[in-house]
Amino acid sequence: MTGNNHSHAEACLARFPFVSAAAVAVFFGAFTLGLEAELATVPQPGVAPVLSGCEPDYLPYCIVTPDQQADGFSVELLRAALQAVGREVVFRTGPAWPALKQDLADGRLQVLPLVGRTPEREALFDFTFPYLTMHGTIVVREGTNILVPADLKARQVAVLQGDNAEEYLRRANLGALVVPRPSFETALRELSGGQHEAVVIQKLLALQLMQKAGLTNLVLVGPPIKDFTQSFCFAVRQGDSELLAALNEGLAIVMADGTYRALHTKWFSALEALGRTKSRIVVGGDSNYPPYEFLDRNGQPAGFNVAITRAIARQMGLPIEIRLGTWSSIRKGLGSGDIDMVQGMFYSVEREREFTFSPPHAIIQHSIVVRTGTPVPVDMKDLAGKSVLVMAGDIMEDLAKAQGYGGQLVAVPTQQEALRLLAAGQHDGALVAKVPALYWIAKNGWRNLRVSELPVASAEYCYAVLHGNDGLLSQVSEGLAALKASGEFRRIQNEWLGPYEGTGMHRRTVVKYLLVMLVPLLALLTAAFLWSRSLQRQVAIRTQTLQQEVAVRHSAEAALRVKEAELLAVLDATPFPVALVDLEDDNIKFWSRSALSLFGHSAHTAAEWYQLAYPDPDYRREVITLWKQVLEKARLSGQPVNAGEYRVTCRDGSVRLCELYATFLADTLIVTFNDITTRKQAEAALRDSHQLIQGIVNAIPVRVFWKDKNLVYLGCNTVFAHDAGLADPQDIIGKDDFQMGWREQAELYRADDRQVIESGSAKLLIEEPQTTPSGNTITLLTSKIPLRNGQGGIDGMIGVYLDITERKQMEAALWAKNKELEQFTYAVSHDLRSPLVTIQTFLGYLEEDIRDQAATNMAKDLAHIHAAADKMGRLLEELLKLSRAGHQTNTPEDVALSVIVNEVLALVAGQISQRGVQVVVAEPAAVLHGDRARLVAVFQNLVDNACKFMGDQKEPRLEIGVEQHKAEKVFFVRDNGSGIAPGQVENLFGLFVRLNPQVEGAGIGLAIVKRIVEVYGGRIWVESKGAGQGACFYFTLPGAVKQLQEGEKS
Amino acid sequence: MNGEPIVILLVEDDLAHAEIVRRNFEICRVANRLIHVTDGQAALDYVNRQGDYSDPAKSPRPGVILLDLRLPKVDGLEVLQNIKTDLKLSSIPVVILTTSKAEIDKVKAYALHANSYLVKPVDFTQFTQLLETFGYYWLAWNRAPHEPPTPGSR
Repeated sequence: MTGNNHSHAEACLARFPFVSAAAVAVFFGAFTLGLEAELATVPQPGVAPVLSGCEPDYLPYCIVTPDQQADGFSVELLRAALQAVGREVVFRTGPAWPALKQDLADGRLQVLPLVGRTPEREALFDFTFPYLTMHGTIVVREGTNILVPADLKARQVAVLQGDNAEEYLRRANLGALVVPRPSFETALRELSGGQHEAVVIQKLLALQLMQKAGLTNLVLVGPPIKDFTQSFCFAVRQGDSELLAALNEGLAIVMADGTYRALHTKWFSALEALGRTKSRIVVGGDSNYPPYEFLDRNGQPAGFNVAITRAIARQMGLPIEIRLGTWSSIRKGLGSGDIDMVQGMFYSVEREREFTFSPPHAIIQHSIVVRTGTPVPVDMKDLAGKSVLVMAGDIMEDLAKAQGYGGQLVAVPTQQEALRLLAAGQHDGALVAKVPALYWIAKNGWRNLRVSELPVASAEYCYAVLHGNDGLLSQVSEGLAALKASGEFRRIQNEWLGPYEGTGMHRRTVVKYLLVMLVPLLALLTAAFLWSRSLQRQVAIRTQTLQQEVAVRHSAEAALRVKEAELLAVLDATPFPVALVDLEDDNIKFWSRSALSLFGHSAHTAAEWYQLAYPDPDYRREVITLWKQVLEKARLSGQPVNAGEYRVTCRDGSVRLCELYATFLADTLIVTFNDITTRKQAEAALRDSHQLIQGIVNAIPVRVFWKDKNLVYLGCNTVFAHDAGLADPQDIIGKDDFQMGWREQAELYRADDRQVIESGSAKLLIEEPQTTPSGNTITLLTSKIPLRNGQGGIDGMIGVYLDITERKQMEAALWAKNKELEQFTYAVSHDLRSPLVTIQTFLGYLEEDIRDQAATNMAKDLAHIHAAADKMGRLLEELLKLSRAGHQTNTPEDVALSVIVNEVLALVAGQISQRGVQVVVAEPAAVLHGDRARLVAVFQNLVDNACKFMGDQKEPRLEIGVEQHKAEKVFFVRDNGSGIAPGQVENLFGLFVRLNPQVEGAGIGLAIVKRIVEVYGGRIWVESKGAGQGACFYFTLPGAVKQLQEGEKS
Repeated sequence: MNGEPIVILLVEDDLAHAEIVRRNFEICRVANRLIHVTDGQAALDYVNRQGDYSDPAKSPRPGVILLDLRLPKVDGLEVLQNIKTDLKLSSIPVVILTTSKAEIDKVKAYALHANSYLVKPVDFTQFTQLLETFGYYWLAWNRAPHEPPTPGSR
């Protein structure tokens, strides 16, 4: 359960570093629950036993008993550790180590009790913290020259297949020829029998196996192999963090509560007895280091250390043997395993690499001893250049060497010897422990020696064991603590060291009094101590467990803090403003730098933000409502949601348009702002400018269009679309000219387009025809220019054109009018001059005739003058008529065709009856609307004209009527008279044109008709098959007819 | 002044103007024959000896033609064109006598190889002097070939 929650919490943390606080709370809660479960230490019913495996022959760690039960130190430890956390374990026995390893890796087993932790194995397994650290050793046959690991090069070295000895050999790259064997026992037997040249093995195991198999020709060589340190752990399958956590907890508990120590003693003392035939713990010490340790007069160990060791042994129930010798022999003995522990060794960093130290039982000051007469040195510097005595292997030798005095040192076996030599006048000084020095000086009466007052070094005096023998040391440490607590330690200290302390006497007196006073109190304290011991253990268990959990938590928290800091730094660096909102309390716990600089607000809560960012209350309400909906949507979807656009008011009063996105991560809401103000403004500006251009393009009467390189339309303005018969300019896009009403002219246009696109130069003012959707042909004045892109390339063309059809028509009309005016001028100049010439000339003749009295001539002259004057008068009258024909003078009225015809017939009745002309009126009911007199004039002139040109027609006939030609009404006056020769049809309606001088008339009648017809917007023409074939005058009167139609409607 | 007197063909629709020309020639005693026709068709018939004018004795070839422009039936310019494009007739001097001062008429007339272009003056004295000068110029001083080249005559 703990493990599950733990891993869940970790996963949460990994995924949501923002919410570390919440996650840690979950984590912590789970931890607390877990701890309570531990304290109960009741196996939980229903939890399946953990499945483990046991090797058959790895004494004393894992063994299989004859009845197939798993046993051994590691097996028992695993069992105890799991029991401490309420779990049970069953062991599968039988398979050899490689198979077990594989079973664990494959998941067939959950845990193995004894796995040396190596880099190779970390890839496969997860390890508990090591419960035992052992060194390896080299086993050889006696008499070989292999002493250190380097000597193994090119030698055949047997190991257990898959053991970390093999891994070590391969890793260390010693060049050894590794021979994997099925078991170490086999390997050792084969070595003993002459095969191989060495076996690399864990030391204790080697001793055990050699003893068991009676392999007397084998020896252990070399120092403990540093790089073949076996840290024994429990191992679980990689990733099984739940079980790993339980094992770590359990291990911590059993190591703290004494179970570990008991198991260790049980298994390893048995081994020691087996391997070395010794049943006591051998405690070594210097035989000549009074008052701490020395041999008394009877040769028995004595001194402060000895007393303390014995007291500890009593306290802890340890069987001990104190063995004193020269310091160097003792140190050697400790290294070789002959001595289990040294009772007095000065602590140093260098020594700690080799030994494990207990807490110090004394602090020993070292001083410089010189002969009287020489200045007493203050510190080591004063020894420069002097010959200095030290005890071999002593801490002071180490220290002096470390400080660079190695060349001056003279090492002697004991401190006493050093002082004796000094007193005898040899050398210049001695570096010794102060108290022992005082002891020797006093004892031997070396009055010529002086001890420096100030110590040159203070060393912690400790129990020490080789690494790997920590179990023993922890017992000693505990015993030492008990001695100190009970006062025994102080008593021993006073007994042995009191005389050498400056205030010894005084202190003893005080202690005496204090003892008297405090005996009852001490008794009470002792009772309290005993009572509190169990409590201490529980506290120790809890403390250790807590420390581990706290350590894990701290590292997790630290990692989280780093992650969170990294993440916030990333958020801070993004140009997009970001806010993180705690959903629990709506506090805004983070604003990115970009957000702060954009808005200028640093609101701490959502409410504050709303106030600042949306000062208008109505808008604020709107935003809050909308935002709630967005959050709901985001929460349900689990996806980032675009919350839409908001007008955020900044601190400086400006309003930014922002697009907001909301994302949920657990209890944190991530709000991202995208400031789109500038984009929106640019879009609006672009839109405005586009609309302006579009407006201009659509407002001008000029047609505008543009095409791409393939001459496909890209766009046009509305007038162009209208011309093309399209409802909307958009409809033009994608079409080409072949799809338009002017497909007849498509090639013409496209040729110009291509020319413009290919040449890159404009083609201006092209006058060209166009067929409109209704089938009419209009005239265009077109200009085309290349459509250039930003890079100056040509993407197509732009065309503009004007519909100049009307202009062309007006030009034609104007041309016609000019022509008519010219004709009029001509006619007037010719026809009016003509009678004038006659009148003037005959007036001249008349004068001559009067002078000559030629009466006959005079009458002729006057007749000519008369006729010419009449002709002139008539011409002027007709011209006046023509002029009047161009102006409407009477109010328009509805008048039936029959009415007009009757009026006309009345006017020309004389001519009709004279020639006997038959008149037929078709469609007399048609009604016209216009100036009645003028309409009458049209028909009158035509009828009059027809009567004049009946020629020699025997049955003259006249037909008047109206016909429907397509959309227009066409009036006609048809005769069967002399007709008109083809060449004369064109000039017929000109002024003063007379086809026949014998026929009366000024040649102005048809001109008048034409003029009136034009006033009504119509045209007039004549059709005749030729002379003698009759003629038909056709004319239209759209003005009169149109108004008529409108009149009918009303 | 040798041989037969020159025949003048006057083509004029205005009878008053024709009378003016006749009286002037009488006054000036120009002993010539004046033949008057009133339309273009009649003028063409005369020179081509067609219709009423087919008898060469009655309708002698004119030595000079006085031609008005605005004529019924066939316009004066059309008459001029016919004469000047006819090899038999083109050598006959054609003098335009008209009331029209229009530039277009002058241009057209000369383009059709009119030999001279005279505008009828409104002033009596000028008109009589013009006709007098015309008589001296064309009838006294001007020399025309005796016989026009006739195709196939050689």
